[in-house]
Amino acid sequence: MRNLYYMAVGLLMLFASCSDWLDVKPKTNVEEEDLFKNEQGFKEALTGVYIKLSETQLYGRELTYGFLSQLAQCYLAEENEDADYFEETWYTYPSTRTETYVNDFWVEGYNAIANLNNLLANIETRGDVIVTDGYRDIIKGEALGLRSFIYFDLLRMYGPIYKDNASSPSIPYRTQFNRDVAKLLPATEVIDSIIDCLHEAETLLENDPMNISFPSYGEDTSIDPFLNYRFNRMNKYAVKGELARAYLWKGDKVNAARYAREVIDAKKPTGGDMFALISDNTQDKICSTELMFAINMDSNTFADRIADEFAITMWNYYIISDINYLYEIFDVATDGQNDMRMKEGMGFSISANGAYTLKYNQDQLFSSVLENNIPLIRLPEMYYILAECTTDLEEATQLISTVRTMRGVDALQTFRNDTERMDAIEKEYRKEFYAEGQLWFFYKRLGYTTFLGCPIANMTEGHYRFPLPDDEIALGDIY
Amino acid sequence: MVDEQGDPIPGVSVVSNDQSLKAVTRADGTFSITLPEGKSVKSFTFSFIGMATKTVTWDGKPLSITLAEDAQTMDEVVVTGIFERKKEGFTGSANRMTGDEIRKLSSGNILNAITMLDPGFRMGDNMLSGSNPSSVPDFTMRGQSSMGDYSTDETVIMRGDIDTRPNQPLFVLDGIIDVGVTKIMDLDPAQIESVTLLKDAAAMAIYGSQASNGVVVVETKAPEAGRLRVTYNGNYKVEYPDLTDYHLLNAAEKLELERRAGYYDESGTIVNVENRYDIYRRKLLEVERGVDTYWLSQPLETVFAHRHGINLEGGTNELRYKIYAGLNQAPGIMKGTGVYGKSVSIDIRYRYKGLLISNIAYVDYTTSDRTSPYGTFDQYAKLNPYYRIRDEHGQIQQYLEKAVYDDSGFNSAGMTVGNPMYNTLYNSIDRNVAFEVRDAFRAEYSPMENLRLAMDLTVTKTTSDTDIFKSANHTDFIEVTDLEERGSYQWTNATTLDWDLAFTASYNKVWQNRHVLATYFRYDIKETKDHSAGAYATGFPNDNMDEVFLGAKVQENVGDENTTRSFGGVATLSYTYDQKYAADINGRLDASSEFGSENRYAPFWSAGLRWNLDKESWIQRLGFVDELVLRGTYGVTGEQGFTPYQALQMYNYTNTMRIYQSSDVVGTLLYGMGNPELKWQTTDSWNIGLDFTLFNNRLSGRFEYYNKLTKNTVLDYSLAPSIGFSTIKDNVGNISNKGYEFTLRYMPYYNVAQQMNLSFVVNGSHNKNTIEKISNALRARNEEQMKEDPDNPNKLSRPLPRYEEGYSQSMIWAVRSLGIDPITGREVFLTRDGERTSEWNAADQVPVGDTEPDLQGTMSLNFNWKGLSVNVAAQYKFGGQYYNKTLVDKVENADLRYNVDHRAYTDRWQNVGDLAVFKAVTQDVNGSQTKASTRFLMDQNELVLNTINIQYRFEQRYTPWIKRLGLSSASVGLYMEDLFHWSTIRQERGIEYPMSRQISMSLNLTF
Repeated sequence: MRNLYYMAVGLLMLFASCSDWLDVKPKTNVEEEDLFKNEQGFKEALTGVYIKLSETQLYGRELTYGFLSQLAQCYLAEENEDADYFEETWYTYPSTRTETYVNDFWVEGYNAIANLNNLLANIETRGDVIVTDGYRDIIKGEALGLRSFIYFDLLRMYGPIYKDNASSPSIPYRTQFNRDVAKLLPATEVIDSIIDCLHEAETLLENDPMNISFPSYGEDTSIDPFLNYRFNRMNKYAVKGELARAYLWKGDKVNAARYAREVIDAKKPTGGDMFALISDNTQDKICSTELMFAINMDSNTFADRIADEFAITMWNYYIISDINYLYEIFDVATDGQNDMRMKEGMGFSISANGAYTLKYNQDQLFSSVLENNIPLIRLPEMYYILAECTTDLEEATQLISTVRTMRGVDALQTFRNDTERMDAIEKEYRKEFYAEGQLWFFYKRLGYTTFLGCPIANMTEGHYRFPLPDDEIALGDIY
Repeated sequence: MVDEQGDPIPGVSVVSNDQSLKAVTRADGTFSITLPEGKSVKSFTFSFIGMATKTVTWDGKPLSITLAEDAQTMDEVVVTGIFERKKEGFTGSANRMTGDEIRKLSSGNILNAITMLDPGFRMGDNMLSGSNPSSVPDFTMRGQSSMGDYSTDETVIMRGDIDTRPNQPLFVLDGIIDVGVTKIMDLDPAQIESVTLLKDAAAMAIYGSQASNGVVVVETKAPEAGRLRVTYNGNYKVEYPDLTDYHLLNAAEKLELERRAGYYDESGTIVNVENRYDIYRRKLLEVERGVDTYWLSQPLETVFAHRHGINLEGGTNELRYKIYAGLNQAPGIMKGTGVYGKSVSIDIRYRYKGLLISNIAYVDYTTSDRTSPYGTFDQYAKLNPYYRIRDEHGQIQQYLEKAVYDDSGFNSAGMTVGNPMYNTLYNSIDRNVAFEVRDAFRAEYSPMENLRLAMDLTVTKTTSDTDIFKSANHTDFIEVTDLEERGSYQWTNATTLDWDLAFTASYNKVWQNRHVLATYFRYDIKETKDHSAGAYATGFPNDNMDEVFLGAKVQENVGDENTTRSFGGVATLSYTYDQKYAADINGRLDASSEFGSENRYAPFWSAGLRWNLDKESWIQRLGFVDELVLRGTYGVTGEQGFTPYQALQMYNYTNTMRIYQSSDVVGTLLYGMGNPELKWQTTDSWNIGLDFTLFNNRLSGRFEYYNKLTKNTVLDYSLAPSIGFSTIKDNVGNISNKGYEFTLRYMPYYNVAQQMNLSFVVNGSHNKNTIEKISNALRARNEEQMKEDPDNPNKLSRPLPRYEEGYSQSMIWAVRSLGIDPITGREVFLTRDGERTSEWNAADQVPVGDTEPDLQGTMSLNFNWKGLSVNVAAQYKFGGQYYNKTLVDKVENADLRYNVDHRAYTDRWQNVGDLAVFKAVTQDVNGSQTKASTRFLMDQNELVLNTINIQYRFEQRYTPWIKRLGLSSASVGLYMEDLFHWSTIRQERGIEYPMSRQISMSLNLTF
């Protein structure tokens, strides 16, 4: 029996000492508290969100050249049976045709917001470990800016036509990562929260170094790599540009004009314009110096995907099979024949079988830094916002004409009235933001009952407003 | 006191003829009894478990006794895989089946036989994988213990894939715990000694949390001493396809269906109209020329499969050995598929006095050709019968149809269809090669009387390579122009290393021959390491260059790693009084790396009672009761139900491991929403059993009732997507699984003189799953979900909650349908309020059926006459419902450009006034998907004739002529398997791989 006793004691000791031996951690996962133990973790969590936004369900395709551009009738591939955008079911909800896209925007968008909220919470509690000068403000400012950027797009997709129906419950606005259900807030409250948050980001990013350069070879090693190529991040001017967009959506033209002007007039610390319009896009498809914010795509897959998706084949979606439609978009009949945004080899590849945009065809650019990018905010939008908001029709004409002349199109006669102004702006959005997604939001903001290529006889809010996912209806707080 | 091998037997009970004197033998087998003065003893009776009781007269001199093993009493031991327990003292639910019973029901996979022998052991549906020898079926015991959605589609898991199914029982093979299910499937049935199923809390308490779905303990035959004995086993099987469930359209019908669907309607430009007309005329001409290809038979063949095993055994009483070598060639009915295995095992046992050392080593080498070079079967089921296989030169065509383009290069009619048979002209591989070495070492020692100490060490090392190669000419790459993308190679190498070290002590004590006390203690420590890595490369212009490193471009690196470590101790105390009453108690403490640092230890316990009524004199007086046992167990066991990273908030790098320009680090994202309040789920389980044998073995049976109540069930609790994640692990309530299982055996005819008997066996089971209680959070949300829309009070816009008290998880949800409107051809639904509507709305779904059958089980018949035995077994199932998803996919949601089920032609609505079962034909595949509706809910009643087996055993005493052939015994058997399948549901079975029927012969020769 004594032997048994010794054995029992021995085994108990084994139990006690094995706790460390049991501590096995999976290699691909890391606990939250371990991640945010040092500065690198904060950088990684922020970088993760940018990479998430580059997924094809979000800005990597559907919210730029994909779904939103299909709805805005940028393409004509009517021989492809699955690409029948002229069918009404693209605009009536619920529809099995659009269900997956519309659900993904919501699910993935809120997932990115959850990541940002958790990052922001950790900056508050553990942010002291961010030691490099200025990083804390940059990371926090970008996180707030990005969150507003995503919220604003969710509001523009799922919210009402603001000018007609501003008090309609739109989307939940969450600032905490927890499991409590958040209510659908009226669009007015959401837009105010977005604007407040953007202002906070603006303050935090006041000292953004705004390092932007497009070296034709090599890399400038003197710049901190975490703060280089700022156009790929939610920088100071991206926040200001977003403010201009948000104020305009809200109908606050004074503030929208103020921010648009601030961006247009922005100067580099060394002097010279911070952003400048481009007049030759042959080797500069996404207009380098106009980029205020662009998402950087995965260099391993992006070029191949673009080559596949934009080739003239029977199964592709993002093409124009009838050249006349291209000419219509670019007003070739009146004044568009020299528009660099359309010309063969510049903005488009045109052949007898059809045409497709070269915006994303980025293998012959003057700087490798420009490759694998999808623009999200560009300078011309600031010109158009200012042109729409200014009370001076003369100035409005000049602003539009500035962009037009840079693109190789004649300047315009001074607008005689607001209708002429808005007509001109509509056409410019259509040409400038071809396959960038912003055109759809332009139509929705102004509640256009029809537009070029629109298959619906009378577009109403119901056609412009995406339905909430079934799961949100079932599990969220929608009343 | 020795056994037949001359080894001493400790613990034998010795009783004098008048019952007054008793003793037990010591470790060396000796015993002594002091005889009181003046007392005379005529004889002594010696008894021991597993040995025939012997009575010897005593004339006053020392006795030397040899006890013989008793085949009958060997049944009386319960093999738990860890300890051997006396059946009389075992209170748990253990169903033991012998190798012979198994061999009578299956010629190959022994698990098929187990599903027929035990009503609680079920094999999953093989609707998709059919009879593919490389697919790994899903097995479950006594229902699902966790909450979740089990209505999802069947997943096909092939050899070499990672098995992700959560409800598999634990498999134990010759003491090696947790072997893969394929190792059991590949076992040569001739090697099986016995299989024991453990189902209740007692099994959980012994094996810990990994046994929450039950345990299957498989023992192979131990070597027999004697001169060298050679045994040969063979099985020769003919397997042929069973396509009786396929009813596809013929060429003329198919083309007519396409016309009705409007593929050839005049539309678009003049060129378009012309092209559409042309292509229709061309197809029509082919039909009129008599082209009507039966594509289904093209990739299939009748195959001959064979298995051989040679066994050498012998040795002395001290040292016994067994060497087994086996070969299994099992091609599948799709050309180029199959499983080819070779295995060797060496079993050596050494015994000297109180010491026993044994070592069993296995080596398995298995090659599986997983998919056919012809492709999957569904590709052939889709092909239109008006296509020809070969062109006018007799060559296999690459394209069966080419789309027609208009002037600007756009598709105006038809589609491009590759010929899957074209791929057979070029090299392709889908192969898994697995190599496994297992070793089980055991040393046992009895240092003192009644005490046994043992050490077990088992080590398993597996390497498995999976290679999937498609040449550049494969039809998958028809539309790919880039040479670097044509041809692909996916290579994965997976290795595992498991080891398990266990120490066992057992102690038995008998007092006054009435009180038997047995205790067991076991401590074990183990580690499992899995690692896999591989690459995906493309660009193989020359199809002889089938090596992954010859690819022009590496697309992706893949891999995974996982290590788990655990240790635990289990203690068992069991007491039996007078062989009538028994009680036992098991306790276990587990610690595992999977439990997370907050919750390192998990306790389990169970207790049981047993009453051997047949030992009671008042029962014995009845005269017709041979055996009557009442037993019950109760236990509380725990299961984590989640991995630690689900409780903690974790970040993950998997999808964000790339460089983002303007950042100098890689990205990371939240893996999920952590729930620090998560609790373990625990299960209280009751098991009550009754075993009886009556009227001289004429009638016997077994009845078990169980009630498992799982508390704090862990579930993926759905969240509103705006929270950022769609689920969180949470404790959502209590679930019960109540059910019964029975087996009845009736032997109407029994003639000892003729050695003839006939018996019938029926077994069955029913399980009822109920959600007993839901958490407050879930209740609050259900109420929230039922709130009415204030703007629209009559419209119930949200679907009903699915987790409500009283609901079952096997319920089927669908919108009630009134059928197809004869006027419009559209479906008419009922809303939740009972109003008619033509719109399908998720909120109108209500529970409409339950997949759990009222009863399912097996009926079998067994006839023996001398060496002849005949067995017939059939499985039945009735009272459940089934949502016929195959029918939805193959008829209404079918893409009409391809071949479809006959009903899509005959039973669909066409004209106003048609009373049709299916909606109108439309080519709009994406816009009008049929969603869950009661039109596709069907009652499922099924009868499957699984096995007919006829065997004849030649023995020297009946057939002396076999001696002249040098044989000591021989047997020949004939099997017919999966002969007949009758069901109330008409659907295609075997989608990716067809079903088969099998006829085989087995031969067993002992020299």
